[in-house]
Amino acid sequence: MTATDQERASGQMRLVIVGASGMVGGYALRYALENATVTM
Amino acid sequence: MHRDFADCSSLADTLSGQDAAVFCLGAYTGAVSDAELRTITVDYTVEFARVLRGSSPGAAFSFLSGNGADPTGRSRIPFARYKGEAENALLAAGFPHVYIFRPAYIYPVEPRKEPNFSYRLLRAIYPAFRILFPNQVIRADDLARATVDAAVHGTGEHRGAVFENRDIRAMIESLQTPWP
Repeated sequence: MTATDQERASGQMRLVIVGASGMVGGYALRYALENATVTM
Repeated sequence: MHRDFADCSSLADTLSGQDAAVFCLGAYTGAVSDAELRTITVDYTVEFARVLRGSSPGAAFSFLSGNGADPTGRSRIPFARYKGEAENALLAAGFPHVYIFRPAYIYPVEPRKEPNFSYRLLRAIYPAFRILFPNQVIRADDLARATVDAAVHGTGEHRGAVFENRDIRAMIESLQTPWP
């Protein structure tokens, strides 16, 4: 089982954020990191 | 951190196995030349989408567009034309779900150096502006929540969904996850 498989099995999702150093992207990053189902 | 979005080929491995993407890269009108604005708005978006589609064809894609984006290409405003062009490219890229967000004025929430006089003015009058024109403003943190939530959880909308400022505000009100 790969890391991705393990994440999915545990209900996690893989999310990529482009522009995370910007204003909206920064908030998106913070929000995603607080969301337990998301893996960055 | 990837620095050259003119060529995202080196990200192919990193982008494999992704479930969702939130694309917030952009530039303010006037902060860069017209050519640079188009490159950042259109070319970078298309290039990233190309590599992501190849590595994670099932990924959902949230795209930060802008109020007035014109997919017809007829607008006299370069920002509107370029955002519309990027939207068209994403909708044609083949992702199963593309969520396009067209916010109006994005309230920065936290203090920052405003990019120009218009933004300084809007920030100053925001308390009254948001009451008089609620559908012309959105908080940056709320907008971010909506983009992430749509990408991760979906919206129940059709394959290519466009959310104007009013729709984004409605989406925020329906979100179950509170801002941390």
